[in-house]
Amino acid sequence: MMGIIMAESYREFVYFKRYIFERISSVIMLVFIFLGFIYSSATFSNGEVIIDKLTVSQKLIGFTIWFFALDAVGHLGSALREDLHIGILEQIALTPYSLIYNMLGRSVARFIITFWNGVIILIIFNLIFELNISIPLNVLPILILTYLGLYGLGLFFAGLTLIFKRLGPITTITRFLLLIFTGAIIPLNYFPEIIQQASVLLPMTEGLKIIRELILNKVDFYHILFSAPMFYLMINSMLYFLIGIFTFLYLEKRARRLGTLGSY
Amino acid sequence: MKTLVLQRLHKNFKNSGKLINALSDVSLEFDSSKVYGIIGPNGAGKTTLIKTVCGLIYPDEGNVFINGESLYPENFRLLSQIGAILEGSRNIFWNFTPIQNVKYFAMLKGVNLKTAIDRAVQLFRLFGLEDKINSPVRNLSQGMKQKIAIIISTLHNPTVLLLDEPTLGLDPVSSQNMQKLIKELSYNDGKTVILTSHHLDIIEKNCDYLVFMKGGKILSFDTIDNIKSRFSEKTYIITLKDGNDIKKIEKKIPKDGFGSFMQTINTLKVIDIETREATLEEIFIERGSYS
Repeated sequence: MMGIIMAESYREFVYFKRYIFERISSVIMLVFIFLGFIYSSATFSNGEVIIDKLTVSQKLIGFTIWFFALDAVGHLGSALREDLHIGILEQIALTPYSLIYNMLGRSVARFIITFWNGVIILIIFNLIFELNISIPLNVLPILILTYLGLYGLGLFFAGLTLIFKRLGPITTITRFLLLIFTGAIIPLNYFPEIIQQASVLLPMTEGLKIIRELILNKVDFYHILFSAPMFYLMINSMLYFLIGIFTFLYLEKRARRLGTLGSY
Repeated sequence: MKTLVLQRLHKNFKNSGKLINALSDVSLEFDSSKVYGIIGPNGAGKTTLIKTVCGLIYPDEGNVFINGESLYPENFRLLSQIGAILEGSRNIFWNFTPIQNVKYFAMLKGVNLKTAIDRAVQLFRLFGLEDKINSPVRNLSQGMKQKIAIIISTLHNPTVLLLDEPTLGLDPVSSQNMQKLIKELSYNDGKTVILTSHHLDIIEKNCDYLVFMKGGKILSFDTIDNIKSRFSEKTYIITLKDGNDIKKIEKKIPKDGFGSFMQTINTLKVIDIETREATLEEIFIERGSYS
């Protein structure tokens, strides 16, 4: 089982090396999007550009978490679709374990790659705009817990891909839900009460709230550990993760029963 | 003990509301160190059978036993004893180099990395691919890709090797090398090799046993020699003297028609008689079994 996770991590790293230009381009694209964000929230006064560093920092953290959530939610499904398309999935499925382990391996590898991309971007913007965002190490467990839920959602979509092959814009709709209704770029208190309450159900809202508290407000980790948002985050992430796993396992079995595991 | 036993396998698929019998009461037994050929027209159920043995398609009924243990329901650790090349699939990553493929599949199948690399390098050398191990697979010929796929499929030293159309798209030389490899894997390594092919001459040359499938059913399962002697008429090539001319005629005689055949040729001036056994192609195609 560990071997499968190692193999899938190895595959991700080979792809990373092979398509390095694509990876660098995506980081550059992200830098441009951030620049747009920063200057769109800047104000002019006496001919000078004034940037509210706190707002920018909040948006930067929110947008970074969201940007990499895109990968967590969509990558497994699209990677599976690519395997189906090139016709390698059946050969990969010829292992003594369920395909779920391949998915978990890929998630681990993607998370490591994504994490370092995020760190690089934050360092670049810290240097350019003197934002003074320092990331305490205790953010890491919260980040892992947040992405656990997001990868759970990714597994759910990957399972659907095994049956329906192409999911159309459903993952894109989910991505925009995460961008708009989790407080990533729009503060949640701008929305009506019912939406604020419903936003807790999304797999990124509470994690993002805690990460901002830890990074920007330097709140004590032990204070966070026994707080209501932490409780919601744990329940939410575990639920999404378990739903993702069970859906994937069920649909993988169904695809094998229908004989459509390898068909595209 | 038999290496592989298929017990009363049934599989139906629905296609546009129509029920298709892909496998119908399929029972077979396979031994080690033997090569088995599965033939049959398109839609006979060959690929479904191979995929059911690999756990890629679940049967509706029946079971697969590998070295005495049942594969269903979901005893997938047994798949570590199966290696397969699937027709229509890529089997290996074309964007990887052969050695990257070895590393990926070795990790995937839980094989010690060093052992896998050593074994693969040895096989790459054997097949003249040692200078290609760091070239992307997409730049290699079809024959090389197929050889690499076979090397990869045997990394974990499976006891059963399933090869769905292993010579498809290969030039004659590569096809011959592949056939040599298949025999070596069976007779030297003791594997049970099961292959499907539409090239009956390849089956005839390489297999000990033949399975003929049609409409999801097994119509015959026997040694190639038995099938030939059971089904075939012998072809007699008779050299005759006709006046000053010498003629050769070919006559197919059924097994029970030899007496009347002798009476007929007694009236002729026969110089020589040779016999030739019918090929599988004559048995299965000319008799219309494929249609």
